[in-house]
Amino acid sequence: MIWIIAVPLLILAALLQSAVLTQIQIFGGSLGLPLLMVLCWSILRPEEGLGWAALGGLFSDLLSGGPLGSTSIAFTIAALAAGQLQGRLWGRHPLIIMALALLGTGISHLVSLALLGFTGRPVDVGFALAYVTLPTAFFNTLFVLPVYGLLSRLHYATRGKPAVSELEE
Amino acid sequence: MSELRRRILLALALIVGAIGLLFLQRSGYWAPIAGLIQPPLVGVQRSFSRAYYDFRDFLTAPRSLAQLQARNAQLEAEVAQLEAQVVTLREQTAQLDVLSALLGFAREQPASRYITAQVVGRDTNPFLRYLILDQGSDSGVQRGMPVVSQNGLVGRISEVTASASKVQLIIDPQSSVNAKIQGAATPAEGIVTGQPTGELVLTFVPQDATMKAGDLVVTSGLGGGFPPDILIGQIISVHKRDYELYQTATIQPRNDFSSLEILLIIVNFQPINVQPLESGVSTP
Repeated sequence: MIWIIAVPLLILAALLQSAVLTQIQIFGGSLGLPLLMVLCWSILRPEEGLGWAALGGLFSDLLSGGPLGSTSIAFTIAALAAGQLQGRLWGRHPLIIMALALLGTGISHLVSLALLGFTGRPVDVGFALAYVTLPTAFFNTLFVLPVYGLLSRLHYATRGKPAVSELEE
Repeated sequence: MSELRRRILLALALIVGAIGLLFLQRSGYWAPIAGLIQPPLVGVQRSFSRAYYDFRDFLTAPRSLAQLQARNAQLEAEVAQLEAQVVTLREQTAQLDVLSALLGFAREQPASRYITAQVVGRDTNPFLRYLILDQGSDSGVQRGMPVVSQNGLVGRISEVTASASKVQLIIDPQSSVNAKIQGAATPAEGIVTGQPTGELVLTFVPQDATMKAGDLVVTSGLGGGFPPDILIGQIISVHKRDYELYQTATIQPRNDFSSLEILLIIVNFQPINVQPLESGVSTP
């Protein structure tokens, strides 16, 4: 059921990223909507977050001049880390979600840079981290809560009966 | 099996799948699949970008000055075109002087043939600088064709499907363009490369070459990747140190790459692949 919604949603996010969000840049950074959606879903449903990461990355790669599959790998590793860490920390506190967005952006960009290097397109890592990753991480941290809020609604609308542990939460 | 182990195994499987896609792309088998997937995406993207441009124009344009703004834009475009013509003519004149004096012949340059294309998307990878255009092989677009605007060089076609193409911008970190300083007293040639921040740097300029802030940088035509004398930008600072082999310069591109909407693809220029010759030279 969720995949019927997830696939068009992730395609829409990639299209919005390519056609609109990349044009709204401040200090070299712009909001990374597909990554934020993947990270938020990994926090809400870690078991499905990995699938979202692979698909979200693939759709982003289709609209990129970069190597196909590289964003999928970067998103998958970031989603794995986000899904793992949130359970070990204080549940879904807003500060934790913001910290995970910051961390997820960093991991995803580092993996992306490494893959660009492996595929023969090296980018100056220090420069890229300072001028692209830092501002992007800032925007992602700033906007993760509204994205999380919207996806939470989807999560509650599409889940079955709430688990006892969730009700206690 | 623990939850963590299950997730790691799933992540590994997805990563292996993604690596498979990467190899598929590298081996060239992805192109037909991309040809099927991309046209509908580009269609939707075109609507999105059109809506965004309209929305942006609506927000930024003062209503009462709309006509004035349109007239201003028209005049700016004309000035930019005339500036580009002046640059080309000045360079041609300089070349003609030299060639006429030495060899006694006039240089002929075939007129470029263009097709227009609309920018429908930008690269989703924040470290790369590519644009997606709404013209593809159906319109005669081929890989390697140069892309320009009325302000000068934009980039070159890096990937083509039937109805869309991707342009690697000259500000992409992997882009390199052979360039020269227009009208320099001593030959000043180098390579213009992009930076992750979107700036341009002219490198490998010999120490004895003369260049200064304000000089115009144009394509040299060397390497066969671009036609000569297309305006790239203007030097804003020169970095020259006596202990280095070459001097470098920071260039202000003439194009504002964040606001490109309509571009021209030069369709009658065939890029020359000089790589086999270069490898032949380097082999002992």
